[in-house]
Amino acid sequence: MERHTNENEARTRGDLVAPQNVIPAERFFKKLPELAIVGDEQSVDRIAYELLNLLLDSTGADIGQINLLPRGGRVEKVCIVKDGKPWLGADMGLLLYNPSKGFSGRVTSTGKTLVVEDIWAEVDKKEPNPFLEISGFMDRRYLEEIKKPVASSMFLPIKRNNEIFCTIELSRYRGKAPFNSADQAPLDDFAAQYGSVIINYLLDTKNRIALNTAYYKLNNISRLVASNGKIDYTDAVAAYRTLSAADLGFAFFRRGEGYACHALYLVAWCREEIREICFPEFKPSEDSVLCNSSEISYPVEGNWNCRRLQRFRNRIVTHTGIKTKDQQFLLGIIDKIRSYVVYPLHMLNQDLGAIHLASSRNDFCEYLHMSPFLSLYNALLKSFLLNERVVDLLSQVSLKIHNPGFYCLGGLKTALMQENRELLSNAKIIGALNCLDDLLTELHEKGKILICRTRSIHLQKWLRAWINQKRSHQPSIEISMIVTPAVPQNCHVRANYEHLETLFENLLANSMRAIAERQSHDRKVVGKIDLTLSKNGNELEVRFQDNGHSYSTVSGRGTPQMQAIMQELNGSFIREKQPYCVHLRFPYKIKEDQEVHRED
Amino acid sequence: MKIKVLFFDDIFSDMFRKTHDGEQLAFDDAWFDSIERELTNGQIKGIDFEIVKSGEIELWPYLIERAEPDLVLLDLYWYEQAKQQGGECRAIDISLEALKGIRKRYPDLPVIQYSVKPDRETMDQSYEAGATFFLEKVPLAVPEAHSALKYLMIYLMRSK
Repeated sequence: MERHTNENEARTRGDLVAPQNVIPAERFFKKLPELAIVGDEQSVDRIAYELLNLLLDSTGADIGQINLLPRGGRVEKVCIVKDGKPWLGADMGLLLYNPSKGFSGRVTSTGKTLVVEDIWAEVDKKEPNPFLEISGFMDRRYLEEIKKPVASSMFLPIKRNNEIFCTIELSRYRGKAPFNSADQAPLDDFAAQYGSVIINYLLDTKNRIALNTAYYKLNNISRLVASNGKIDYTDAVAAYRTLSAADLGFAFFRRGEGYACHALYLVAWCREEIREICFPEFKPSEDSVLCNSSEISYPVEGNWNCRRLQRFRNRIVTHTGIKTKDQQFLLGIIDKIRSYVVYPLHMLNQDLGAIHLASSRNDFCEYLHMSPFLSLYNALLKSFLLNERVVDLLSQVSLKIHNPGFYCLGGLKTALMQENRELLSNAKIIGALNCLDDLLTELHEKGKILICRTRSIHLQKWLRAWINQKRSHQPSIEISMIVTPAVPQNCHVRANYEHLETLFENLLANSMRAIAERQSHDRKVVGKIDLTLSKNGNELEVRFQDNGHSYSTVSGRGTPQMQAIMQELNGSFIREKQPYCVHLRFPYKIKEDQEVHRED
Repeated sequence: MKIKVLFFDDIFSDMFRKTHDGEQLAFDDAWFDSIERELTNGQIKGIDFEIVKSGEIELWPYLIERAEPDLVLLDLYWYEQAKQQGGECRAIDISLEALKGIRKRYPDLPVIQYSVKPDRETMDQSYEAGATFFLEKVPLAVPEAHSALKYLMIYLMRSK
């Protein structure tokens, strides 16, 4: 991705360069299919980088920036290019900017391209310089390396219908000829003709990636609900962090039953840092969004000094059962909040929690509302939380009948035996006791209907179905399965579908990352995943191998989870590093034909 | 013959006793007393039972090593302990995991697991985890209700 710098060099030398009338958009479009091939965040970076390079080359600018400001999505600087090289790093914490401030803010309000001769001039067109008003709050490195060296800048709005959903900022180093109307005209033409198409494509790519992430998160949660496993709330919150404009936030998850004895799991995030904090007993205020009886079922907007936020702050300050570090983290977030929108998670009279999307930017509520896709995610998450609560409630009913229910009945029978044994020969009394016994037994059984159960699963058939499904989800990857002749026809493993899905989805996700890593160096490589099912002594073995490259792990939670499942299934998990492959070994049983037919 | 029984039930745990009211504890205590009475009444000459009770299932490796029991009685549901660990649904898993551990370390130690109104699936899980025998718990505080348990223990000791 080398930038053509001839024109820049010519300008630096002071040569006269004829203004170009048309920006060669075809150069960008020719590269587009190749740029998008990997389908991860790198694709977004590459597309943005290529677009900026095209504009920098065509206008003789030195530094370029793309700012995204879609309503209900992430408002961020998506790319900064300086001297032909990407400058913005993911760890720089510079994703924040306020679209209503600075020169970009002026463009957002007027909807017109803005050419500024010197961004550092005290007065711009007889008005106070909006950049100088906010420069004091900007990141120092950004100010030193991106803003300080430049003078003349052009701010270009990109619109879809009347909504400005992106601004592009191009700057020239101080000492160079400032931008003029001859520079502006081809850019305006380019923006009008291709701007919305390109930026929409960029956003679609971002959304597609986010959609995949959300899809995996929701699948994980549904499996956790079905497997009696503990829901990973931190993981569930990832979609809100990546799909909204909130740089700060809280996700409140209420567990248990009854108004008084709810436990509260609070996941709080501040940019990249995230923490889960449990409040074993948290009784919300009566008009709290957390409380279903408050009848607030709509998103509530607020700012830093509103009553709700300050009340929450006071609770954190006075709460005794919280670690000092957690308390400081929470207070740090609350004190940074300038605007927020809170979405209650209420369903069927159940107060399941709330999602609090916040920003350190003033008057930012209109950007904080959830996009349609995030709303869908939110609705599904709410349903999962409700499912989890129903499972909990049913289980508790069953357990209450178990103990003290049966014990009370036993106590009654015992007392009758001890006090007047003859009463137990009385048909009416025995009938009533039996009736009560039947009733408790029935309720006890019904309370167990939503319980995770293991079953005998024909692993070979299950794997074929899973692979076929994945082939349609991942058409660019070749997935194959070889079954060695020694594998008996009717061998079944004892597990549940959620166990198997968690295992193989984890392995697939790892392989996809490894393949993407290899493709980032060699885009022509076709990803391959090979599964081999074989018999190993008394065990059935699945060998899982891909043709990817090693990569740095993200969370490191996948392998322990797989090991725990294999242990639970009395099997084993073996990992080889050279070449990298995983062996899953399951104990199996041969099922009689009759049983197999009945199951089929 | 002396038969030493290590008896794991959540009703012996401090956690259970702190959570439940006196009336409920009275039912549970009366039930245990009736078992104890049935086992230790000296009715069968030459066979003595000794009961070591514990509500700390997570300490099974230490307790088995220290008590050296001939037999383990193990309750299926550990609701309060599961709740403490954040997953009420795992009330059965706690005892099954302990059972798997016992079976791995002590392949020949008889373990009788029990529960009120068990279903087939629960029984299957228990046997798969390594139970020697699964019994229905009869919540009657009448010693005679537990005589079958006594004779079963004697049988297991004879065939050891």
